[in-house]
Amino acid sequence: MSGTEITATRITGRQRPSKLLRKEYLAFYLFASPWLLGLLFFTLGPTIASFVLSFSEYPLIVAPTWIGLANYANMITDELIVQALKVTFLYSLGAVPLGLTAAFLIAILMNQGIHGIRVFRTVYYLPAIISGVPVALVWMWVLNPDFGVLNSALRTIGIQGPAWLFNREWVIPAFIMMSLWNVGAPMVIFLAGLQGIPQHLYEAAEIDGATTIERFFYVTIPMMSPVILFNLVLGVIGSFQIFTPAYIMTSGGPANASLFYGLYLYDNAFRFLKMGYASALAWLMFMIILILTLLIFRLTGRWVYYEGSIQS
Amino acid sequence: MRNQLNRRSFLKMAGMVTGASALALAGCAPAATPNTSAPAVAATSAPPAQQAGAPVPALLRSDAGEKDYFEKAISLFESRNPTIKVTRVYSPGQEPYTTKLDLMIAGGDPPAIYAPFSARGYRYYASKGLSQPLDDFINRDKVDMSDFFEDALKGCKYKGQYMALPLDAWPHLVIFNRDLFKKAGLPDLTTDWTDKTWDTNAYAELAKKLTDPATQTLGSRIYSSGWPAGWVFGTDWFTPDVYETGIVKTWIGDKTPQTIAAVQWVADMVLKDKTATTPAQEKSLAAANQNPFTTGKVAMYVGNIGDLSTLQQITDFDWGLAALPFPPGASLPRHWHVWIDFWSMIKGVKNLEGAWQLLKFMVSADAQKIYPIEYGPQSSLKSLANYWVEVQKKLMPKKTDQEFQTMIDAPKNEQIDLENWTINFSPIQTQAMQPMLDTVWLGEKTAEQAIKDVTPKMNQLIKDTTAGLS
Amino acid sequence: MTATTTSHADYHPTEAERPIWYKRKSVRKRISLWSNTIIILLGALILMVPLAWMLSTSLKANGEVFHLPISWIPRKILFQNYPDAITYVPFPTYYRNSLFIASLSVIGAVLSSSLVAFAFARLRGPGKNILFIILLSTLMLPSEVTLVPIYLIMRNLGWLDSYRPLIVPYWFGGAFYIFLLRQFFMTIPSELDDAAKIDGATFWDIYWRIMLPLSKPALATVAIFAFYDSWNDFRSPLIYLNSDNLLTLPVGLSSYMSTLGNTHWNYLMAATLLTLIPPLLIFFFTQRFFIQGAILTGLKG
Repeated sequence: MSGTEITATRITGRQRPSKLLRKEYLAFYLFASPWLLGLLFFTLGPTIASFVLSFSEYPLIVAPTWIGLANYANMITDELIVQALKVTFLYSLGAVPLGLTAAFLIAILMNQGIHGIRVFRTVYYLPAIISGVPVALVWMWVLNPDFGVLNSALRTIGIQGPAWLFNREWVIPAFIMMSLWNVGAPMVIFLAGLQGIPQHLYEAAEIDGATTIERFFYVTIPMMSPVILFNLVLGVIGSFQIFTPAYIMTSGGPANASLFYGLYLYDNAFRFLKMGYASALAWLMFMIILILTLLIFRLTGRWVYYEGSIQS
Repeated sequence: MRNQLNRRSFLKMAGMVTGASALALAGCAPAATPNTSAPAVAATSAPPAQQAGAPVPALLRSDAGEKDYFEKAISLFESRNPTIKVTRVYSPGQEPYTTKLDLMIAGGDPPAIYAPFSARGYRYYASKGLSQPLDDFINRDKVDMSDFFEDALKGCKYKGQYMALPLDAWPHLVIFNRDLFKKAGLPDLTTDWTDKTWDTNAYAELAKKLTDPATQTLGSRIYSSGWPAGWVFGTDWFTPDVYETGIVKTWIGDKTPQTIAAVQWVADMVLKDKTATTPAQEKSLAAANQNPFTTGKVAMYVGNIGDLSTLQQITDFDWGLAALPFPPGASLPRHWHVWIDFWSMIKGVKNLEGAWQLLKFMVSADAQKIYPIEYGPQSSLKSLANYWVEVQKKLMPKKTDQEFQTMIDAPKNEQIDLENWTINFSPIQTQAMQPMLDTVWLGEKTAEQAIKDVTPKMNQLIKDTTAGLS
Repeated sequence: MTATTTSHADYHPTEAERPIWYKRKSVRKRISLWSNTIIILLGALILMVPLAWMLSTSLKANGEVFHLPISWIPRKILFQNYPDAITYVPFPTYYRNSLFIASLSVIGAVLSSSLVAFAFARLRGPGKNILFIILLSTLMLPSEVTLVPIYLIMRNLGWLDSYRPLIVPYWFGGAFYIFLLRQFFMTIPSELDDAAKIDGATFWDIYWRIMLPLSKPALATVAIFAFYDSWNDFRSPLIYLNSDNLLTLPVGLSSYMSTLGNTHWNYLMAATLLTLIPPLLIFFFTQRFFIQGAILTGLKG
């Protein structure tokens, strides 16, 4: 595959189905082949299967039986779905903006230079790598209304803390608070992105007389926009699928005030063994997330700047 | 033109891909287990082709040290039965266990013996025709059924056939902080299960005397934050046939005044008298049943034999064991649950005889001496009660004979639970029962109001979950 | 004004700015350095509270864990808990297994995901946009409902009770990693590609010699995340592994817990803290890739 012919195409600018373009197409598929093959072997079949299963009743231990649209019909009258969606949306609305902003600001502060940056980076990242169950248990102790660390600290400044995990109004804020503890993961990604901003852009801006704030808005944010987009999309997707903390700490209570959609789905799939219904729930969630993601891409389209984008 | 070509070829490729995966999917369809929807009546169908030498897979729980005891018991079995090889498959307990079990079944390689120890009992699998009836084997080998607790045996029958055998017993008792009682000038609680002066009224009164806001001490934990709260006065939520059939059929909660009163009594201790822990306080310690009693700030509670190993580690105060209180005035017999687990067998094992030999062994006295007795809980065999006491005496040398007697009397005064002996209680519990109870504990509704309000949903859920069950 | 230039003849307009500007900046910089540090420090202290509790618990006797009033310093510091915790379950075996699986997974993830991300970022192909949407879509479907079909596929391949279902999927790229790398690759100017092509580079050359070296922070990030995903995966080892000697740490940690009330909290916390070490080490050693401005060299403005 020689390079000069591609240049020739570019110079003439004519659109020909050139042999070279086809070679690029081939290269595209070759490079993408690991994922495409994985899709074929491990993903596509099960995904289609789960779609088909949403039209059946499937208790897992016996073969599925076709029931047509019955699952979807039941979903319309299922008040728990409404509750689950409400809980999940509220959580997402709180956790994603707060989490992203915190992660971004922390990454910026760290990047500007602090003493002991390597230590702090690790400290912030540490919570994100502790696996779910022991951490959930520790949090339950921290959030104990009488003896927990949090309420004890609040008491010293005269505030009577709420019952957190067994309080309808405060259970979701409690989960949002816990999600902030994992700020290390998006922070790491933001840090990596900040590293990728070439210094000379900042220097050029300084020479042109830009203030710190201006440098932030005209250099940092545009150059970081692809990474911000990534964290935003994944933050939204992740927040909609949250499951383990609720499973361990509240089982969806009290009185379904923390019934996250992921938990409701899990219950249906593995506790009640209504895998068919769970599949229908999954596809509803899928559609919601897909629409949200497309919206995000569309709305942020013009604001995301790719230095290295190619004409497609 | 070029675009069209590409789109067409892409669609062609997509079509091929979909077709290929559909084919792959068809080939991977879950293996239909024998007798999928036919109810498991007398085994009229021929058993699957037997392989006498095939290994017997046993699905075992691997929580907190249990593995060693299972290992010991099974090794003993293998030494006595050299021709039978057991494959041990370990899994963490509760949901992961049942998921693993379900997947093994769906994958066509079910375990020969399993013990869910969780909300989904054997009856669920029996209702889908997956349980192996054991009557023929029991009769053939003349297994002594009289040694098991009657109530448990009743639960081991599904539609008149034995499909499981009881493996242990975890009774409930009142556990109290002797030091706090002494400080309040109160005598120890009774160890006599026939003492009718010890009823819930007495319990509530004692809790008041033992509550001391100055030291942040509470008289009691919440008596129960779950469905057993309806049993405290001796009545139930559903008609008694539920324990025989395993099917929750008839909701009588709103029609049973004592059930309503019981829930209100539990709530009053928490909200009105403020002599019991709130669910909020419980929640932070309730993960894996860690309990506030160990903090030394709660005077008594309804605990379980399983708590003993934790209680044995308490060094700050002296604690004692007592009988559960009667319903008010001892007007009705107690209605409380003893957790009983069971070994059961899934149909379709390759070495049926080997599987039976293993199951029979695991419920026999020799195996039960190892698991459950050496591990902690009581056995399901009445004859091993004294052996259990001997083992426990070494761990709790200070406990009196009366206290040990009260422990072994407990299972006789309790009955099997709703959760792991029924087929459809689990969704009812999660979607209707617990949220309803939560509103009472939160103080949002009275017991009467909450139970009345949940009745339509309860009846609907019962209807939905019993569709197809006979 | 401590100007270094004194002669009027040497007085250059832009130079004249520098002394004042410089001084102000250095003071400003020092203030911002310290204020940043303090803010970060406060946040770090708050974050460390649950971890401090875990550490404290790991050194207590089990009966003391939930004792009131809360004590941060154990009455008797039991370092012995750590060796005890490791022998209570086959901890070293689980550790070894997890390391093995995670290492192979990371290598697979980085290699395969970068290949695919390169395709999405730099190459044109028919249906690319649809494929990208499909890529993102795979992140959106909750995994519970594809669990059983995938399990059956693995079963039919005869891969049950082996490490293959745990490692192989990482070698087919992961949507998260591919998406991440694609975003990073797209921040690298395509002029570099063109320059290389003029010099006769193939696509592979561009990938291997240009993209990868310039994406070290991103690749390190993928390595960190892939290691973490594999290291903490509870569900896959649970459903695919049967034999006890193959089990991994997350499943092993649950053996400290008891659904029946005698959880060994101190052992559990000790074991959990021990399992933090490898992901932390990976994180630490990839830090050197996060060096400011080392990215673009040789690019004329």
